[in-house]
Amino acid sequence: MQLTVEFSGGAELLFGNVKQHRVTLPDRGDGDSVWTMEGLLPWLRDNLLKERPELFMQGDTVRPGILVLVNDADWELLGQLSYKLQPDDTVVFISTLHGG
Amino acid sequence: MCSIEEGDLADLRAREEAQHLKAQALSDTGPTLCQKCRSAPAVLLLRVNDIYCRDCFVAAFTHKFRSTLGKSRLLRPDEPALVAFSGGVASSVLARLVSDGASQTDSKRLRLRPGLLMVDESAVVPEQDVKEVERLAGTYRVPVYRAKLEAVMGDSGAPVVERVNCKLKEESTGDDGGTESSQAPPEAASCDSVSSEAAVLPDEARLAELRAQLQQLWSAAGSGTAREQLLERLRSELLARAALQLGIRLLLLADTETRLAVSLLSGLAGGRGAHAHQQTALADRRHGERLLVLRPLRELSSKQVALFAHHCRVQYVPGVGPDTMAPASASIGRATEEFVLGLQASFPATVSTVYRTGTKLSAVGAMTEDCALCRLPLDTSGGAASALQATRFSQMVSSSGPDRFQYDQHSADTAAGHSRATVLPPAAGNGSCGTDTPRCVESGGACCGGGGERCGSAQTVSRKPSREELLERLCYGCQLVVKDMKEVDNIPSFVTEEVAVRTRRENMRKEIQDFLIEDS
Repeated sequence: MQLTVEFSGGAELLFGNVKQHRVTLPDRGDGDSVWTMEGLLPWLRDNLLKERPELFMQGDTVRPGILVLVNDADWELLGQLSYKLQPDDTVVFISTLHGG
Repeated sequence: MCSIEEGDLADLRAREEAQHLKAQALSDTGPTLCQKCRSAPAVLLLRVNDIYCRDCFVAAFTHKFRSTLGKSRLLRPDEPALVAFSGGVASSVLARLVSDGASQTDSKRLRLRPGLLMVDESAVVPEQDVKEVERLAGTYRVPVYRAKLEAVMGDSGAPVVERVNCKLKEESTGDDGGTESSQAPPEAASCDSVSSEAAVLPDEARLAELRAQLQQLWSAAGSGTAREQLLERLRSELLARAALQLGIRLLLLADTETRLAVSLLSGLAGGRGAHAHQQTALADRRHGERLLVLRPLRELSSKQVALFAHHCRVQYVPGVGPDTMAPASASIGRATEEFVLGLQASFPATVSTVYRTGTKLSAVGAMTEDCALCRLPLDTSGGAASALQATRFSQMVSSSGPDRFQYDQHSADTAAGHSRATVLPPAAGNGSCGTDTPRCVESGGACCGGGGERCGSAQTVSRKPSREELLERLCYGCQLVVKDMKEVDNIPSFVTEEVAVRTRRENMRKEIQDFLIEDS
């Protein structure tokens, strides 16, 4: 499944200072091809993140102060971690933390 | 519409409704509708119960900004205003709101003539992309000014700011001169003040010297917190001086509600409780009548600001600073931010509660003098039985150890300090123990004889105040910043000048004490 992932507000500094990433999520081995945000976050951390994972994630969700938008809509409206990603979704992470 | 106090019952009901809406949003297969227009799909959730579509959000956001400014009743029609512009998300959004508002043609036009003021902090924050900030500033089609942070180290009368010619600005005058010509640049209005073009900035050599001085001061600052605080104070002084130089009375800062809540709490932790009110107020009047500092984004959270930037495609550079990518333990400010945002994640009313509490605080008792560094009232006049004296006492005991500490010594000191404070009203802030430092006898005597506080500026430069003299003129929060410094030789001259003037005044008052008739 292909997705566009964007980082801004300073979050891009953790991802090699690249704002936009086109990512292809691998199929999960057990025939279950559904990806949720809960699965995406650790995947991004393990595959895309360049440094300081603690500045991106806290527990199993994003660090407080980082906004998440899926197709421009607040993920809080979409069920946050339980949202099921669709092909070609755009997921945006915006850091509102002072100093990025 | 924008009422502050809402009944608990209303809150409770709103929360229930929000829960219901949220549940509905999750259960429905179709998109949730905007709560306001009920026609467009909702894209964002603010606070507990506000589910908006993009257009309604942008309208509400703009309205909040305009009403914050309007409610203040502080603006004069068509007054020039400077927006402090760092290129970060909040100041870019503020620049967009102000410049869009001012270029509207209908009756809703924001009656301000904006300019942007950017601060080049590359001397202490090498990561800052000054060129990019300048480019962004140029996209707003308003006059752009630039001030270098090191200029604040120079003499207080020296010019600090210059106009930047942005390429885009020139293009825009060629393309659509119509909108541009209706917007006279701010300095045209300030004909009675010094024209910015006439002022000559210090030359390169002097600036390099000041830059080195600033960098030394920076490396002398003991901790991340001290640096953060120092930068904030120097920046605030520079912005104020730049606005004064340009003859512009209004300075707009892009402090968001979230930012203010964080700085309120970190201010309290950093010993600035007496200034909590000024730090969160809409209008900051520390510079008197000549300059009014406004915070028009103070009722908008950083989430709203970031979402506005995202939905309205406002370009910005992530605000890099000394604390970029720093762990929470880097400074008090950073730790407080982590704490507040962490709470906010589970209790969405945290930020607004903290911020609103801050606006209700005020300092008790009249404070006559201002701090030489931050220009806020001096809060060190607590008297003999204050918390400040207790802190000093315990510091003295801890630093001297059980063997060398003499109780009589301390009580004599405080008594002396206290009696001095009652005898000398202007020096009432100095009830500190052990501040019996040598005064500038020869130079002080000579210049105080002249009668005015500006008489001996040459002597001021020649002699720097000692650490004790300096601390005496600083508020408690600033004292903590300076105390951490390894050496105080590079304190900016606006501070040392102020200290010298105050010291001379106090000496003079002491000399003529017997001749003064005081109200009893």
